[in-house]
Amino acid sequence: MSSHRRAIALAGATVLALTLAACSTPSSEAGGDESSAEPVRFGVALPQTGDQAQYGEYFEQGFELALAQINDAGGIDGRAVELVYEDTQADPAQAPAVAQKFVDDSSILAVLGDFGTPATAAASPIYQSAGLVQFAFSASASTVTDPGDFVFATWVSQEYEAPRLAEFAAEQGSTAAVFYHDTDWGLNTHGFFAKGAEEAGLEEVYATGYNPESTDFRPLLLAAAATDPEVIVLISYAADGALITSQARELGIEVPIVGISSIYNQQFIELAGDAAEGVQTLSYFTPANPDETVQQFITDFAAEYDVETPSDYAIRAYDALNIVATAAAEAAEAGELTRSSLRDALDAGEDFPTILYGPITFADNRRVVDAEQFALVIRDGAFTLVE
Amino acid sequence: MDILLAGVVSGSTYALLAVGVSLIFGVSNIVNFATGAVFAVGGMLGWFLAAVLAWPLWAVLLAVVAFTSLLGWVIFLVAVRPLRTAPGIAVLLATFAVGIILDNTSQRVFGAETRRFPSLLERSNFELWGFRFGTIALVIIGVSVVCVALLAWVLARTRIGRAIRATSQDRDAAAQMGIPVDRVQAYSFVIASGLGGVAGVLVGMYFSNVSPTMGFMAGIQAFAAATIGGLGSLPGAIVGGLILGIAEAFGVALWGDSVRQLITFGSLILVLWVRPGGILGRVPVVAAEPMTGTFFGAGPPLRLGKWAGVALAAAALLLPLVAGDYVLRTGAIVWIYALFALSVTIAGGFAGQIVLGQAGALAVGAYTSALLVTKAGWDFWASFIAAGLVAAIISVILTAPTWRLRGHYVSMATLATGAFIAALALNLPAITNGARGIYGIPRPTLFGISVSSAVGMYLLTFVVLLVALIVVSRLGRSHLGRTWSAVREDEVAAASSGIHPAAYKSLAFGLGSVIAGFAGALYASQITYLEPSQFGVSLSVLAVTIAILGGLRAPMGVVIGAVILVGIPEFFRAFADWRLLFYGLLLLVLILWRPQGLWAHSEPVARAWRRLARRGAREEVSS
Repeated sequence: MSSHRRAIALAGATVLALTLAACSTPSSEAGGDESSAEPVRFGVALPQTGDQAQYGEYFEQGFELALAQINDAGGIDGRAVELVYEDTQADPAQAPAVAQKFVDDSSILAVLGDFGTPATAAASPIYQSAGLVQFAFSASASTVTDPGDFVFATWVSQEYEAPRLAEFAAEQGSTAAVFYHDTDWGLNTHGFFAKGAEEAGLEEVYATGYNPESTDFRPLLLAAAATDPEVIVLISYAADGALITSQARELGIEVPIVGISSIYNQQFIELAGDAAEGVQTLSYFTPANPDETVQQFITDFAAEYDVETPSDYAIRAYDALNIVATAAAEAAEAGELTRSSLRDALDAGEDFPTILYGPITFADNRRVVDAEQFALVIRDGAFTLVE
Repeated sequence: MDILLAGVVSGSTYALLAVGVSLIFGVSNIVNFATGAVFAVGGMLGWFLAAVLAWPLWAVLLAVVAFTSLLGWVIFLVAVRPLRTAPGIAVLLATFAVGIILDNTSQRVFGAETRRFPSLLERSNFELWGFRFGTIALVIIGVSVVCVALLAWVLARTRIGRAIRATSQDRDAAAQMGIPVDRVQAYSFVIASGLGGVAGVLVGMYFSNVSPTMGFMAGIQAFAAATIGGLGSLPGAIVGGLILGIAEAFGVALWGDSVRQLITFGSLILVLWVRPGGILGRVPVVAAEPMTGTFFGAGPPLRLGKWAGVALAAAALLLPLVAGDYVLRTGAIVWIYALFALSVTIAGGFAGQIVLGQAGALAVGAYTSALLVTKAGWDFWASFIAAGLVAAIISVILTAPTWRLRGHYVSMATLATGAFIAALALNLPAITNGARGIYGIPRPTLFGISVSSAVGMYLLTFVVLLVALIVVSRLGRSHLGRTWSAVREDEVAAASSGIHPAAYKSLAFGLGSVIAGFAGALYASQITYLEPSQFGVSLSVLAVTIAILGGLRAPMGVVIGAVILVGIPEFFRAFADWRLLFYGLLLLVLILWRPQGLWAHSEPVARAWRRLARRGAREEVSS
């Protein structure tokens, strides 16, 4: 009995010793390396699980493509780039803990994310007080960059986009039924839209907010149809916008449909099917853009992923990483690459290359002010330029 | 008229799911939270077969029914049968865990994207008196009618049906008459899951798209429908489904989409107020009370020695010396959730009422504090007190008529109340700023200094939790605590000795809500951002899960429960996309392993411990 136990103890001690030895080896090796070869690391806060996981998947497509290209081109200042993904489920309750995790990891030089304003805004105070750049590439509220000078945002404020959409819709008819997300984003956008509509002479005969998770829009559409609108306006994402479109057509509502740029996504056409034909949108991105870098991006994206056109979300993620990497390279050239030198480079830099907007420069409020949009229409299952 | 039709069609799909819920409830006295998940799996599998493999409709339906039925059987074997001696609430949580596992497995297998469900049938080929409708609408109504008629025939005419009915009337008597109760319960899961799969395919076709996460809300609506009709009554489930579908369609057409949940849960509360057993249900008898008997007999709470308690508290207080800010931020959240779950302990552990709507009280507390601080410029601590009081007042008023209810009806009524409060927050933008939410809520202040650092928030939340724990433990041992135990253990006996059970239940719930309100104030200042969707049903379920997992009767249990359920998922971050799946598995395993809670006396563990202790003593002597 007792010898048996001794054998176990011996075995246990051996295993422990081996484990310790295994642990200690790589660290001593790492210590010998040159510090300049250490990778440049950026954090990404995004939804990988939960209801919003599909948007996280789009983001990863864009990030991974940009990451591969940056590293193939030699990385930043000769150092490889690494992304550290953390799942927040786009939940404002989880975002602060993830933010703190990034802040505590001194190797993280900037954080990209989150999906949507709520999770982004909940994390901002922590990034700001720690002096770590929060690059909010997917939050559109007009207040996103208010928490401080470490928060940057690339989404053009709806202040500019929504009135343009109203003008565009006014070309289709004089009375409109408007469907908008009953969220911070949707309410803000609709507010700016309504102002624009007034100026463009477009009368809102019906306007309703809805939960993006809803699936049955028939009652809303029937109520809208009763007001006899000449055009339907969607302040929607691709998935729910497609549902509204297909259910409207099923109910025999045949008026033109105009959607905001967020519906620019092949998924919209896949989900709405034939009903998508003729739907129009204003988009910052068009596959018909003759610009060489845009065409190259489309080719690269198609080679990497099996989709016809990249989604708005994937493009935004792709651009976000490229902007931050460009700024990091500039900071490294000018001196030491640190969290604060990266912030300064973003602030001072001009004409960062993007696919979505073309070259951009951040304004005083660290946002992209405005950019050109193209009118697109869905023909034969693809977004094409309106002649 | 079109709206009526839209309502009837969506009502029919609710009815299909509600029949499943009612069937399982009738036979096993279990609220099956996996219903919605099975429905979503059915939809996604149907999409895969129809869109990717291009199977015809009949083959898709057959395959989906076969698969989901099998799934129902597996759920029964894995999550329900092992817990047959455990209380209903443990099974409820087990099925909830299964739901998380199914949702996330399907998300990993089929991808997280919303998918287009091919329209296997015409959508708008008929027109009659100005009605536009398609084969699909007829098929949905038709299939629902056929399924329910078939079920009714099976129940009325066959041996299995008689066995099912006998079991649902009196499980013990049925078992004594030689009915294999176990197998009958398995049948009920198989049938209900099969119906869920059918509903998944039909709904997918009707709305033309499906997503892996569409199940949760559908499941909740099915509960609402089944409860409105009367749990356990099949015609009731159909009536409930149709009422809900039609009421929602008209309400949404009139007032917009945001009132949908208001209508769902508002009508549920109203029906329970007027007819406590649902429209076609019987008022359950006391014997069906799920919280009494075996449950607490199996696991009296462990006692924590005074010095052990002090040592633990000291260890928690000293944690900032060794841990980084990330651990401390997470720690603060863990303490807030522990405080939140403590509110469930008072109503559930002391007075025996399982409340599934505490997110409502948390929301009231959070909004009260946030609004008073940001709009009215109050001091944090004044708003903290106000948060607790307002939360208690609103919760007590809304649930006042609930306490004549019994068993699962209490759970469903409180669930509805909680969800109703969140829906109110969305629909009262003048007060709560609606879906825009409230930004930039300031951190708490202490003697004029803002506590914003990770260490500060950690210590602050811990001290509040500690005080609450001590007060609640004292309360449990007080005269009031003994009165609550009396109500919990035997309501009739308590009433006959002059105690007014409803008043004491209400008091326990009110005190619980005070604590939930306090937790809400801390939550608002920790997250700094509030919007109505944060306070969903899953948050209420989380609170109950924390309390149950820790051991419902011991206030100390919430600490253990919160550390495991809120803290551990942070360790799963390395699994990225698989995180929630592992979380569901962990939850299921823990419930199966310790259905009476971790911080409770358990005979097998105690025996093993004694054996270890004896052996240790022997060896000391021998050496």
